[in-house]
Amino acid sequence: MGKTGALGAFEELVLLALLRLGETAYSVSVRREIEDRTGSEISMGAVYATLDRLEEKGYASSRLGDGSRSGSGRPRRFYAVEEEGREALARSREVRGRMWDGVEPFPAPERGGGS
Amino acid sequence: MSGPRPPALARLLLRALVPDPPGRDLRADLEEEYAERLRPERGRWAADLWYWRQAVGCLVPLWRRRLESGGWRRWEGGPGLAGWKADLRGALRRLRRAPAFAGLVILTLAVGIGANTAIFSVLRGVLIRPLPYPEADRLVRLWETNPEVDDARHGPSPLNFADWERSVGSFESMAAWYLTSGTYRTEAWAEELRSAQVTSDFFRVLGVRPALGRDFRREEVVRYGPVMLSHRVWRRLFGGDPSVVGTTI
Repeated sequence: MGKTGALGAFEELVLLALLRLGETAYSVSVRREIEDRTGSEISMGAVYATLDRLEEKGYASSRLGDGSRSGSGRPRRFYAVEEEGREALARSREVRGRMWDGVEPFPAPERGGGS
Repeated sequence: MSGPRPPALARLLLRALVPDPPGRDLRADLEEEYAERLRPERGRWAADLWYWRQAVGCLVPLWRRRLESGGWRRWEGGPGLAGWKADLRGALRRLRRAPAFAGLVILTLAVGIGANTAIFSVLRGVLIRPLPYPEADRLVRLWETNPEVDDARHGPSPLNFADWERSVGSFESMAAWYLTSGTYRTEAWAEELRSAQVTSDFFRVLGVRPALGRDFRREEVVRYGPVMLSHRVWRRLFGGDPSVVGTTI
């Protein structure tokens, strides 16, 4: 187990979405990315809470973007994965792999493009 | 933002239950997505429904996070520890700015709390609080009723009670009482006191014993037999004097 504990399932999804989105990762794009890839409706509140928790754990960091958007007049907050977040993801993947070892002949999921 | 806006009630719900700063950003994010969903192929109803689901669905994760982190201000990069104090100050500022709304909220709370307290007091007295006697759960109250006349419940007549005592074997013992009043007279004044005429087993059925003196005996069941004073009457009329036991009043 890692020094800061295991990643929750949704935390893992959010960190992966941040990695996939790169510099365009902010709350709305993260929510859409997870929704598109999992096929489930995702609550914006859950994304907010998880991004905040990941930032508190040191797995992610945020910065305010330039300019303001219509609606609130406030700039968007963009997120990025920190080195500790990458390590946590790697640990999570490793643990998951170890757990899957020997579970054959469980059918492996088909790898698709969108979901 | 131009064009239709998300459902007003859902926006109001968010504004009321998710304070700024995350509330402000959250509403802007949801409105941004709502505008996307208003495209003709999706339809207004679907967009409204989506907004409602998001508004309701965000409450639990955000409040859980708020409790974890100790405040809403973390979302603005501020220290979490000052969270509840800042929330309190913000709430007070809002109430000062809208005194009519504040009055309505306080009145609603007062009526709600008052009604709850009244209902709970009755429930506690009637259903929850046990009678102040040992093994109170073994005590039952018996009634007499005549369904041919009405459904009213009455205490039994003395002769019926005597029949019950003789013929009913389901109870360890039975006692009866009749609420009345009596006149306490001294040379100087007279005073009406609330009293009850009871059968000799009354206190034994309840499982209590007199603090001073003795319990009634079966042969003493007569109209002007011995009396047992309540603690309050003993203190008020006799100054708590123990020598009153055995005297005639």
